[in-house]
Amino acid sequence: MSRLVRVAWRLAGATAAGRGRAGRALSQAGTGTGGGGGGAEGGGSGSGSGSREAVERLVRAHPVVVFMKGSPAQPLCGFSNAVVQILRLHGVEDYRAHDVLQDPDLRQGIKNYSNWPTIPQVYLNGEFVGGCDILLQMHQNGDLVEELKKLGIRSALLDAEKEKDQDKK
Amino acid sequence: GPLARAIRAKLDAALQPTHLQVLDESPRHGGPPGAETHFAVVVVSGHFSGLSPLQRHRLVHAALRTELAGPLHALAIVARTPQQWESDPHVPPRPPCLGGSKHERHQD
Repeated sequence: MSRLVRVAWRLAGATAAGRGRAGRALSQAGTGTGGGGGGAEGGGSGSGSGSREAVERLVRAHPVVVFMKGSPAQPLCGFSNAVVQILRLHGVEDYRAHDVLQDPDLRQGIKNYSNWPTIPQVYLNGEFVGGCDILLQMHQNGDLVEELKKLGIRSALLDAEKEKDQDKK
Repeated sequence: GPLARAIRAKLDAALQPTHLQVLDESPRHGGPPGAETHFAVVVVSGHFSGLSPLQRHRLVHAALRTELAGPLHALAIVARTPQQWESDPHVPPRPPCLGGSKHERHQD
């Protein structure tokens, strides 16, 4: 498992090297807050993009929801990238990712909602699971495979394990 | 630096750790040395016994509530019981920075 994690860090390094400063991708899959300037509706209260109701809708919209800096295609923070890489290792490519750098109201709102001071934040089945450190722990001790299974998601690592066993035969 | 000292004092008081490392990782995130914006802490404490990783991290956050509301921008946490630390005194490698703070429209 730890070998896979080291590979993930190297991938991150390669991505950063090839990235360049310009051309940050502005569209992310199913972000939900991008339409028509959600922040302009007024200070994060009531119908604002940072309200409890708005955040609740976002975390319940999909079994796997991530609040991060940047996008899965182009993470803008090493910790956010770690979350993306770990999900990728497990073959989880279909999830909702929200770029908090695009929306200061959402950024504050998500911190209030989870009572957690930092980004990235990972939600499984609408429930806050933790940040990058916790996801890494779950990945290393096998908990993530189990949690994904509960959501009906089969981790790619299970298939990788099976292939390895077949090679041995 | 002063923030590192404050972090150490608060964690000592709240968690009475048997082992505590407070590392200013700001230089790894594009800041100048001594910027004191990004920290990593390794906290070994009996208080963590029986608590999930999430609960442990929340304890650390609670102890550092003031700092996290202020200059402390990012906090990496390793939280283990003394037994866990004895059997595994190693810390996972830190992910490389991708310049996150530089992409913010305004610094908070």
